Amino acid sequence: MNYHPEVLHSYEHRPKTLILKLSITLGVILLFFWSIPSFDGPLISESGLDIVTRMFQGLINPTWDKIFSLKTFHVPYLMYETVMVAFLGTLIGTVVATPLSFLGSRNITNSVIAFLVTVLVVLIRTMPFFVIGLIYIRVVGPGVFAGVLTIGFTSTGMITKLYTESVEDMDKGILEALDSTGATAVQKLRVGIVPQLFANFVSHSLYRFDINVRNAIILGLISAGRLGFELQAAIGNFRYRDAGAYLWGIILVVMIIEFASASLRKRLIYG
Amino acid sequence: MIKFRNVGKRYPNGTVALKNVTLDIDQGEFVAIIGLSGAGKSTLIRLVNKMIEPTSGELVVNDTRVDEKLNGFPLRRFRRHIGMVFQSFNLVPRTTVLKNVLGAKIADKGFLASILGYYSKKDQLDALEALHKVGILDKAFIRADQLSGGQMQRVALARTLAQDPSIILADEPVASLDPVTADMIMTDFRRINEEYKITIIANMHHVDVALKFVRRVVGIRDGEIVFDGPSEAVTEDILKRIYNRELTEDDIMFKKVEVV
Amino acid sequence: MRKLIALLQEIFSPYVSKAARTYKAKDFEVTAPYPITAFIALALVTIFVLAVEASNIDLVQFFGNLNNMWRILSRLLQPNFRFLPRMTGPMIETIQLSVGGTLIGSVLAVPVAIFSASNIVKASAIYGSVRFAMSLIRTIPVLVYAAMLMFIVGMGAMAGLVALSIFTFTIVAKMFYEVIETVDMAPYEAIESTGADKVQAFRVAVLPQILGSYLSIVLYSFEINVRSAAIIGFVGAGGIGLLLSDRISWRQYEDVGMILLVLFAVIILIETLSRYLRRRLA
Repeated sequence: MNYHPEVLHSYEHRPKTLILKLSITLGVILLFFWSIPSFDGPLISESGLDIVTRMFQGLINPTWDKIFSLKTFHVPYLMYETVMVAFLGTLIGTVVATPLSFLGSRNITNSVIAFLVTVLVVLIRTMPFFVIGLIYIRVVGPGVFAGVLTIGFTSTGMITKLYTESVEDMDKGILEALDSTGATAVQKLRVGIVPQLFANFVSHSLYRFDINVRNAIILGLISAGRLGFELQAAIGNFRYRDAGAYLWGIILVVMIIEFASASLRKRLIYG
Repeated sequence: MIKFRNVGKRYPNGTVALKNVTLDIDQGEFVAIIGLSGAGKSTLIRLVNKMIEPTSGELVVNDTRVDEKLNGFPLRRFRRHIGMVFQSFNLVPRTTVLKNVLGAKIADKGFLASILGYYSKKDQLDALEALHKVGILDKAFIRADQLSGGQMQRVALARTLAQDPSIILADEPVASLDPVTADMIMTDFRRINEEYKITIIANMHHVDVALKFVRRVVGIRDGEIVFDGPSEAVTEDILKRIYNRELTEDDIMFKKVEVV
Repeated sequence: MRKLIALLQEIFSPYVSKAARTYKAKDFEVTAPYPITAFIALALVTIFVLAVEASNIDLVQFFGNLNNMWRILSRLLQPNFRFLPRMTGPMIETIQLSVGGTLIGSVLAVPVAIFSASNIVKASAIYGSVRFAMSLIRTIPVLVYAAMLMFIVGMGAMAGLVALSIFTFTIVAKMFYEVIETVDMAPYEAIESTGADKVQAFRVAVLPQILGSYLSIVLYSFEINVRSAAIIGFVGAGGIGLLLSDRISWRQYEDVGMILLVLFAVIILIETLSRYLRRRLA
């Protein structure tokens, strides 16, 4: 078949991407082999396999007494405690973040203060939260109180960031309208700002609450919470049926809070 | 050669889309199918490449019987040479015009070449040639979602040309274009029909477009053919019979130009 | 006193009487919705009290030992630069873990995402059960996986790699199937009409639509993984966390400060790079 000269011309001048694609592929493959840690022998030992089997058995047939008992330190209580720790932590985060977010909004304060708040937020957010947890344990000793403080501290970063975004998106036309009526600062806050931001703020806090429930569980692994701690202890002491019960507790509490937080936020945003 | 013999289509929900359609279309004809929306136009052309399966009668396309036995590989081989153009162009966004046209070649590829998206030099030249035929070679390396509607429909046309089709099925090819662009696209269709002797069957909602560009018009109403003849023979009365009412502004495309 | 009673009546009557919530205008009357603010406030206060009770709040101890915290913080702010050579190995291991976990998890997530997408798999029984199973696996936090894997594959980087892979697998599968469901299926039909089979039509018509989003999701999960990889060592699963927890338990806060400084730089660097790439992909 004869092709039109212009067709041959554009074929010759087509963007050539083969080499780029090949080098990206090669790069990813090399990256993969670089990243896999070296290990001797099989990935999973016979005893490891045995533990997996027992954990699955524990998950299918957990210690039912612990799941269906309202006694302190049994599963429902631990779930409740986890939610409470997350609630208090979120509350602390919200209370601290509210003034910070106004300070961090470029449309309210000057850019130097806003920049300082941004730096603070980034610092808090990159701080590994186990480090904060261990520092608080040094201050108040191990236990859920250290967990509350840790969650409060780490939540502040993200909540401030989300709040600041809301404040910066705020419609300032209303404030100008209020200015022209001679409203005082408090009145402006009450009529012009709170109604606009309230739903957004609550929604952001609920979102963080969901994350905090998971964090409250994890903090148990460094003894600043109980659910994670009990799970770790149960596996360590070969009590696999107990471990199954705690795992179900984790799954349930995370699922319930995720669902509740998501549906509440949906209602807040869509009325 | 396309032969419909008493072909009917009844959907699982009980709707009868076509009944007793008998129709012969010779190689190289340009046929417009007109009628109200819901009259069965879409069903009719989708029967030809078995995107929809007939429920009664006999349909033979290029000596292949289109029935429930045509499946799997034979069906795909059968579809290779039947092109299809859609109202909404159905191009792949986020990729280049050339890749879109090359998509028509994927059916010939083996598994590995398909997965890797490998096309030979001949494939690429064929695709570029198809773009040249519809006059948008210069857009070959641009992303398809950056084109205008008319350009998109040309790419879609190039995609079917790259299939080297003997039949092109066009489902409302110009319904979402403005009148000027529609005129250009229809001119392309007529040129392709005349130069390459490709059979074209086009569903048209707009009567005037069909009458202006197409020699043979088939009118269907409630799933039945109520008119079949040359476009010159179409009269007001016949249109009234096809549409079961007076024509409205929606049925006309080019009149709107005068208003503008 | 009378004023007070009137005020209380004003506040509480809408809760008990529909008439109090009904306002009569000239031609019509409006009933305000039931006021729920007070109930929400009451509920929040109750939860607050319960929460304070459940979490052993001890403000005396907190404020009593606050100077302890300031001392730690001030030592953190004087990083020990001589510690740098000792932390490069674990730091590289942290990055290796997050790269490996991201790659393994995001490759495994692809078939699962396809089987969770309702526009690709038409049978609701299939995609429904796949989604449910995935949401169960997703509830368990990555650090809990790491802690459990310690007992299964032993202490070290392998446990971390597997945990991060599981996490990436679940999050990429979820985000990716949501992307697949937004795909325009019309081009797929067009390619099928050329005689292509389903795999070919998917490759040509669907893949270009989702590839960019997929890579973007992978990069996003990589960002999260770097943060997780940094703390996964606290439970013994490799990376810089092991060293961090060791230095904290030896109260070498200057060393901790050094690690945090480097970690901060690495995280910011990786996030900036990843965000740049994601913007290019969008």
